[in-house]
Amino acid sequence: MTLDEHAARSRLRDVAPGFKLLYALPPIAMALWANSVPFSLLVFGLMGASIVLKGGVRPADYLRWLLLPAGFLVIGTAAVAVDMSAHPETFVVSAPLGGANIGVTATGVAMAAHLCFRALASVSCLYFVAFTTPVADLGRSMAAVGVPALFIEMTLLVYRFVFLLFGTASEIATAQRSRLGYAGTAASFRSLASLASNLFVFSARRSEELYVAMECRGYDGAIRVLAPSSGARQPSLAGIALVEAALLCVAIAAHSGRFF
Amino acid sequence: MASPDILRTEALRCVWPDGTVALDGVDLSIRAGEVTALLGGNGAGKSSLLLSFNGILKPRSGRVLFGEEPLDYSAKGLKALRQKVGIVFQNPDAQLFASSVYEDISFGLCNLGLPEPETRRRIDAAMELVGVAELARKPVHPLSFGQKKRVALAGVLAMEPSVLLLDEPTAGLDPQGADGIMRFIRELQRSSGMTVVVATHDIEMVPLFCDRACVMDRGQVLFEGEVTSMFEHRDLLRQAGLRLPRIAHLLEILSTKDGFDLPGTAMTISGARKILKLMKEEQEINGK
Repeated sequence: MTLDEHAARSRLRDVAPGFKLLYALPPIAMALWANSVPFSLLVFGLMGASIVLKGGVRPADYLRWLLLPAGFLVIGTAAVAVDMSAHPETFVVSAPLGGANIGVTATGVAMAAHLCFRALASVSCLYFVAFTTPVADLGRSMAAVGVPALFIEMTLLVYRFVFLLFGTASEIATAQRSRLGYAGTAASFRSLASLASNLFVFSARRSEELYVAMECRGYDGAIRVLAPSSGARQPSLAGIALVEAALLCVAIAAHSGRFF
Repeated sequence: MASPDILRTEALRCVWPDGTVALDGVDLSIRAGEVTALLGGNGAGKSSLLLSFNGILKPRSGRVLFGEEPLDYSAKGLKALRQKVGIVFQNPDAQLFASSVYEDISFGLCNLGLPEPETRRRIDAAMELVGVAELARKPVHPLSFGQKKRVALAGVLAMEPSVLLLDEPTAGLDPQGADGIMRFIRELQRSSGMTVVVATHDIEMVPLFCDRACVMDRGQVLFEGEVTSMFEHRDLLRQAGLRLPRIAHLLEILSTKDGFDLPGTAMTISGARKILKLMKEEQEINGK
């Protein structure tokens, strides 16, 4: 199931998108600023619980989706833990390499852990938005906070057509594969090149067709649409404010070192 | 019943930017309140004719008339025309662009500048009509081809046009889906008196759902008239890369090759049954 389908099925789908952003975005800033592993874990846990318990996403699905950024995180932060120095005694584990030593220091590991958990907390916040809010709703809430209409139109058009482009690309690739287009390196390069150029032609033609179709419905340069009537639930603002305030207090405590 | 012509072309000649002659001297009248089928093989000029009815394709020479007035190709004139003449394209993916079904259907209405309550009423009515009401808040891309086609239709019907142009409405649908959409269009034409022009090479559905037929080949009109008279012009159909409906073909072969003495011709199952029953009755009378 794609993130898109999760968002469409979410139990929190009908909550006004502004509230969801208000709930999930400030903790990102707090986690980045507090730079504390327990606080990051707290945010991570809170968002995970919200997605699973409130949003109705199966825990297994959520964990599977977490694997994707987790893979990047592990590879990315591993590089931070590794250091190079002339003095082997600073390392926990090290190996000589030429005149210097390469290894892992205690501070490096601590830094990597901090980085990893901060990133994980931020990802979980963004996942909360992604798992509960369809892109169309998100676009509308962007308009509410004053993002230029052109930018939103572009975003939503890209969102719509990325799926078409992806579908076409995979159809072409399947057709190429069925004629041994990817058997061998040279053939692979050739196939990939023609795939890319065909996609370009396809996009140009598709945009022309779309333009004609839109003209037929009276398009005059501005995309105007009407959103489905807002049956959006409005949760209590006080409740969200309370959660945010509590998080902020913990973040300050964590940052000033009173807590961990 | 002679209805007044709602759309008419006079010596219409259209040329694509690459020099291909799309329409080559087309004189054609579309009658108000009827379903007209535009028949022809691939590249016969059916889609080009639809586009010129909608003011998208401009004539090199000749003209298109809506009612009694020649088309006005100014921005204002086209806007007024497209409100009354709606077109549904063959590929719904080329027509649907918004991020949800509801928003896509609202697009044409928003361009008309209608007040919001009226817009919402029309969107709901159109979704109800084509049976996509439960998809309203879904994004467009995961819908099935048939659903997308219905949503595209709703987006045009919501604008409440008096003429509906359909480019290959049954292409890519399963037999039941194709029948369903044609029955729906027939019903719509009967209940609201809408004029419908269907470009198709699905010859089987023409006698079932259309009043008139126009056969095109290489940008020219070969034949135009009642669907029932199509049978007499079967040579023209074949010249255009088409054929008779299977039932008509069968009856033709039975009478020309197998020596059956059929009391008439038919193109549909119900028509053929009448003829065969008639034949049976005649035999019974002769037998006694």
